[in-house]
Amino acid sequence: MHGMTSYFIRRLMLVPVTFIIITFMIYAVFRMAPGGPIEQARVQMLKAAAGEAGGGGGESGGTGMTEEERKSLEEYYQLDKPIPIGYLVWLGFWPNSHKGGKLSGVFWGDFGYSNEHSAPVLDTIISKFPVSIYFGLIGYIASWLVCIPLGIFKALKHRTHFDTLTSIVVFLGYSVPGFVAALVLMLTFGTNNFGMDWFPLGGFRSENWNVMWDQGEFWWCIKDQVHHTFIPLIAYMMASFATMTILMKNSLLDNLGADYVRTAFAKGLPERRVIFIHALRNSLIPICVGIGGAIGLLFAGSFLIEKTCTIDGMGLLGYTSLLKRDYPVLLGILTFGIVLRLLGNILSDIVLALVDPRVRFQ
Amino acid sequence: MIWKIIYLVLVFVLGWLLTKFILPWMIVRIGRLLGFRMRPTPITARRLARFRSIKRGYWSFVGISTLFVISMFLELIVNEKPLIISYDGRVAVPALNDWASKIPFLGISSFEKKEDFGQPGGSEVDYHLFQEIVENPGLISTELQAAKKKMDRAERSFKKLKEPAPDATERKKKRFATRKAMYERSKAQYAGLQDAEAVFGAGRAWILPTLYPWSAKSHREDLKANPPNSPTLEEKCFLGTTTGGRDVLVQLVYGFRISIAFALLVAAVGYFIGVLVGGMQGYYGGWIDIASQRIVEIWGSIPFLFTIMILAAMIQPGFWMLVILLVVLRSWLGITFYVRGEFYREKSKDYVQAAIASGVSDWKIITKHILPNSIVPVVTFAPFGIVAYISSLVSLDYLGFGLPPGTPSWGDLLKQGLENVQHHPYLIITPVVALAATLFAVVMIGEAVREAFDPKVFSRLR
Amino acid sequence: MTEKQKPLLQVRDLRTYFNVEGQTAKAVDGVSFDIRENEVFGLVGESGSGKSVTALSVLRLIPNPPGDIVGGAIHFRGESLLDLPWAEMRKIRGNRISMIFQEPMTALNPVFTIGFQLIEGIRLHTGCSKDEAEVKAAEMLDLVGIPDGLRRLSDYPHQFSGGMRQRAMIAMALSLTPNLLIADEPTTALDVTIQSQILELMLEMRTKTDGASILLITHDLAVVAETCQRVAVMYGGKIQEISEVIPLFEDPKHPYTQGLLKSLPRPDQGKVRRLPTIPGIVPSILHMPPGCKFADRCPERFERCDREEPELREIEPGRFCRCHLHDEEGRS
Repeated sequence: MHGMTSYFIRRLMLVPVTFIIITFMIYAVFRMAPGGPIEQARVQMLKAAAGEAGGGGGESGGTGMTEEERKSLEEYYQLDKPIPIGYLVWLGFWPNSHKGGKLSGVFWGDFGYSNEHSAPVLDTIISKFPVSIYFGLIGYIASWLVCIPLGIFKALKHRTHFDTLTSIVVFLGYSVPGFVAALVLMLTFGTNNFGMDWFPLGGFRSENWNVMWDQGEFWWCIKDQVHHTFIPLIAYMMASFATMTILMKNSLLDNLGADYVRTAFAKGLPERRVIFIHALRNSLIPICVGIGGAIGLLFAGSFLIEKTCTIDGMGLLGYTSLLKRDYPVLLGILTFGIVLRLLGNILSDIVLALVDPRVRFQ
Repeated sequence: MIWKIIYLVLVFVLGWLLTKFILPWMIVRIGRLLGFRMRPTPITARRLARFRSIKRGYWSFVGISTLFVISMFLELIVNEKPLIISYDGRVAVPALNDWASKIPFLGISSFEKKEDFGQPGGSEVDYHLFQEIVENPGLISTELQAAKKKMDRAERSFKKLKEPAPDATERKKKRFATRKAMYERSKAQYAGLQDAEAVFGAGRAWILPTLYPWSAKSHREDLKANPPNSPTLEEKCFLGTTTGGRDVLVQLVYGFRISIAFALLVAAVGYFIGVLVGGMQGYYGGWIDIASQRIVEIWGSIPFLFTIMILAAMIQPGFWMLVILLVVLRSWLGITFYVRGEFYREKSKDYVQAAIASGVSDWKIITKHILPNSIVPVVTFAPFGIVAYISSLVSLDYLGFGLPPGTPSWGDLLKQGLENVQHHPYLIITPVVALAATLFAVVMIGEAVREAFDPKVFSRLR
Repeated sequence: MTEKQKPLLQVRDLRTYFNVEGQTAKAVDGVSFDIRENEVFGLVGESGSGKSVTALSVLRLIPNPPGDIVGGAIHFRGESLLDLPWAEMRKIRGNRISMIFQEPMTALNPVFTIGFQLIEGIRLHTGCSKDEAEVKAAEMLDLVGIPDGLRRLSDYPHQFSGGMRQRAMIAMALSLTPNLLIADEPTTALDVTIQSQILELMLEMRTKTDGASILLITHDLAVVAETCQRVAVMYGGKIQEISEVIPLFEDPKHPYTQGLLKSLPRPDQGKVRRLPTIPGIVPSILHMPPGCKFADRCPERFERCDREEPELREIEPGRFCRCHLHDEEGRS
């Protein structure tokens, strides 16, 4: 156990290194991309400094960027400083001249300020957490509940009609991206095109949900929530449905052919015990390790599904921020995404160490 | 009508022959020229035979590759520009020219001026109008009358002016010049139309349109209702039009070509780099391995879709830029692990150690001994990779951060479908069916390949 | 064969076939032998000769598909194993007949402790409490030479070395004092020094427990000479010769056995120049010759060998051989 603890400590130490490398690259790209708004803002800023831009504010340049936006970009990216210094300021390890020479940056929890939302970036992002987690978590649990039994059953019925039929469903699920499934479901069950207008076309809850809740209409509220959850939930499940089912099936098949299964039979154990205790325990290992990868989806949501179903979560926030060129929020979301992925990788390692006694990290 | 059916059948037969016989033959030939043996090893031969025996996968493969090969000649099949157009002894092949102009890096341009084909003006010929006149030469006399009126009017207003004296004001001189030019132009147009009437009337003009005479960028102006139009059979608009009035069927077929070509390119370039990197890691091991694995891990932690969206918002990528972005950010990563493992395993085997010990160069060992074994993960990966990259392209287009606007794309159709989900279901149904059918076929191929390379057996003990 | 005692295990005309990509592979094709009470019986052959499949067939551990026991009879203490319902068969497995496998590395479940896997079998067959089973398991580990057995029960297989794992397997197999222990190449995957230890342990355990019979499967004639009382030589899915050990080594009857023995290094021959080998390779299991399976490689081969498969005949009391040289017609 000792070796493992130090392994994870070392792993955790790598997170900041990785984090810094990636965010620096992205920061640099943001600043250097030719024709990018920041580059344009920088050019304008230099012009302004040289006294060429003239007095009037308002629209300037071809990008439709207002003076105000330009100023906020200039402040956020420290455009008057070279890239490495600007990055250090963003990170919070260099005095921020725009904030009275104090240290303030990501490291101190300051992700900047979003003009679009009139709120600090961090607050904006965190406010979207619950919705994204709600769908991510429910979707993930639901796909476990469906995929694991289905995968087991398919393995035990390998090459039967049941297997072939479900395989077609699984592969169809694999070939239809989640958001496309959401579109189809919305078309079929969300509109009156086919006379089955059963579910709302999007949103997290009805607009009057909070009012109804306060009035004590809990039953109505729950029904409304379930109604709104149905289509996105299926779309979320589609994302992992096929891969997880097939992984479960193949993993169990491989294990059923393993030597230790024969040993277990040779001991006289009944088939049920050999399959569901000995083989299943081993074949669940790769499934469990997937948890780490799912955490990213759990928090970050999916742009595609959230856009399609107009769910006001992290994904939609990222999408609208991109449309509105709300760069502080964009960089904030990107940062969050990276941290979650890195933590997800470590979580996968931890889970692997927990479920597989052979794994000892040195 | 009959010739269209013959044309369609011919297209499929030729496409199939090309895919099934000519292209494989050429690949083998080129491979031999490059010095490869191009004969499968017994193991590969057995795997190929097994793949062929899995009917659904094999036929999906034949089907998709035939369609893709046919789609390479789409300009000759679905195009506003006709195959052949002939006017008064002048013959042109606009569709073929158009096709040649689409071959990348060749820089052929194609353009047929209106004037040369009995239509006044210097822009591209209106082929639909041309065809209408061919079918009904009477149409041109109305045009002729209009042109005559225009000419008369120009003549009258020109004759009103006198030739300005040399000392007249600049303004007067200029007005005279423009009216004169207008008059001359309308006279020439009239004369041209008179010629055209004669040519069309004598039947010395004819046109051979393509199978479905609409291009990706052309609008269905022949339809009566405002776009988006629902599918109609009478007006020969089988899958309706987009919100911009473009034909959905045309968007669909051109979108197919772009999607598959995109995915193939991304997969090919990405796997090439991935095999290189993974091979290096596995073969040399040591710090190269550790360092580059760390890089791969870091790179893999970048949320690629979001990053591409951000970059796309900045630089408005074209087709090739998008390919590069997806290769750099995604497609080379996944394969490295497998190739690395494969190299690692192979290198430790006796025959490779023996080759190393006897002083064979690294390059030769890698290409002759190890690389053939690493083809297995690449081949089993590729179909699923292609599914992923097609999905990526569709997703990016759907979000509006993909190919430039106006490029035929399934994602764009889906986006319009979402915006019109209440009233225009066909805008969702058609791209979804196309997408699902294509990806399903590719998945079938992938599953068959996997089954052929690594058959899973359920051997039951009790 | 002398009918002094009723055999413990009686295998008659056993046929186990496998379906390999549409073709039938006759892995075991008409094998008959007896194992007496309190006897170590060796089954020798090259890899692919069908000896492992024979052993697995006895416990009905043939994966189906692709394999199937298509014919023959196996009687264990008078009971026909092939006719038993699965539930009854399971009561025999691990309890009356135990098995040790070739690969100690993979034969144990990696995610369960040694204790779990030992106790599981003990409790299944005896129905005793967990604590009792644990005591018994620890005792068995001590008995097979794994010191501090009680503590090591909570170890996982990967914490054991190969030899220790095989010891644990033996403990597992013998914990319920079976009547027959089937050992399928138990020492092949181990270091040479460990090999003899494990063999000795097996023989020793036989005396410590109730004196089980052992069916020892090996390709190593030296091991047979050391441990077995009787031996059967298998080739091409068939038994070619059955004999007491000493007569077999002194006077091998079957040309294949003769070849095998000649290819052994012998200390009494002084300085050996080069060991003779049997030319050729084992015929593919899918394309067996119609006549004698060994004909292709046999130095004594004559015309009849290709045409007609010889019968397994008792050529001397207790001595069986499948060769045309030893029947009435002989070479004629």
